[in-house]
Amino acid sequence: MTTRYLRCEQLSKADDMLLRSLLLIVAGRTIERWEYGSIGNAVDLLVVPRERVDRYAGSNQARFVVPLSDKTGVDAGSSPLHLSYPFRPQAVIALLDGVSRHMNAQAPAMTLADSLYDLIRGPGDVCAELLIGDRTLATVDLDRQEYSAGDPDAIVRAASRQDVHTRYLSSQHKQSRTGSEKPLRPLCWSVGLAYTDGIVSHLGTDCPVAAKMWPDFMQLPHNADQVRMMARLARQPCSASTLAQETSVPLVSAIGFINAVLLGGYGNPPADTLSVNVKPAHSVGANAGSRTGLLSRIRLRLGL
Amino acid sequence: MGAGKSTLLTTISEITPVRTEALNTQRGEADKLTTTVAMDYGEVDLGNDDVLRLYGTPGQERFSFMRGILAKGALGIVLLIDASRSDPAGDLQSFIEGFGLERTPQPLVVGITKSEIARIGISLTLQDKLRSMGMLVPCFQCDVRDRGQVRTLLEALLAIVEMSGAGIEQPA
Repeated sequence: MTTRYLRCEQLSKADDMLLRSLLLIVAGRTIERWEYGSIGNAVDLLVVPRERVDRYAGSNQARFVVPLSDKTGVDAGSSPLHLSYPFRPQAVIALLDGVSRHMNAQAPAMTLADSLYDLIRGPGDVCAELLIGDRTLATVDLDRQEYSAGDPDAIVRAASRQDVHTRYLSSQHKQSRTGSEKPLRPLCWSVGLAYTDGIVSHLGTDCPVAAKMWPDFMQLPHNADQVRMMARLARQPCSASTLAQETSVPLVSAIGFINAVLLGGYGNPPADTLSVNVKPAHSVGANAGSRTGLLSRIRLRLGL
Repeated sequence: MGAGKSTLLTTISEITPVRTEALNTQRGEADKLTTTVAMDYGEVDLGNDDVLRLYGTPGQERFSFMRGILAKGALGIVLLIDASRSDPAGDLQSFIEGFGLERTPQPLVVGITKSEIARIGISLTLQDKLRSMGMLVPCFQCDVRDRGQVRTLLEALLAIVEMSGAGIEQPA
């Protein structure tokens, strides 16, 4: 989840302290995380006395400059953004959420797969909508590990679409349920398999991924190649390119599989990879060539 | 005991399994009339005079000495855990240690049976237990009476065997 930064300038020390305290009080109740920004660094939101607003016009210190006022403030789109005396937590929440919504509407679009990956790597307690234009593709609740959607198949078909936006929802949304929620992990798995344009988060086909745990293939759509790829990945971290080579599957299949592993939470990219030592394989005495032949015959006989 | 080992073997074997059953005198542990006291035996004919031999171990603790004997030289192990028991994770750890698998890894898959009456998330619970023991092993919820589900278990086991079936030590 994106962290936004707020700072006050030219306010009294008491007002500054009060706003800093309110920022801590409302933490977790806004749709995005907000922190107090350091002096000298550009921030997302600057609160200044009303009579000083013009001084910050065109400034690169902040994307939004909001006057402290007892009347209406800056008009941003359809919702006025302002902060008035006396300071109230609800007013601070409304201001911060208003800025967040405006910024999210301007955020660059991503692929559906990347949007999902971004979501699942963030804090585990958020609720968000995945949008194409004004249309909500899905609502995702990471806390409950559920999603709701009008057409789940449409989500998988949209895996490669590059015009998906994420809109974070307030904590109040998490309490409302429609009864049509489904488990999130199988959806993430299917979206991952369908996304073969590249590895999510621009990781690259030569970037090693480490397995965290096996998918429960009884609960997920799968084929024999994916089981073999998982067995290879569980043995030692490897990239999509290596996986394709060592399991003799097309690179595009390995790419989809790695995406499914990452999106399903079954593996981690290099920065999160634990260092593991792999014990030598326990051999039952057969060499690789004869073992491969034996396994093929077993598979054939068991109808695998 | 009662996890479904004999049933699984019956599902796969091409011959009528040889069973060593006796009256179950521990009805409190598993509500079934008989239990395996030595081993079950089944076969799959691979042609060319080659046979895949299948062994089912007894589940009662007093016959646990058989497990190491039967596992020695095995291509791989299917471990069935009864999810309806009070401590499936404890059972899993006990079996892993009993087979010595945390010291000497062998290709292994875990089948979770009776999961329809277990708590949600049992697969993740058992995977967490395995990870705490430094192992990365498939854990699948399955009905061993269903040939398709048994095939998925075996598919995973053979994939692990094919990829050398190396064990993973405790992460650094």
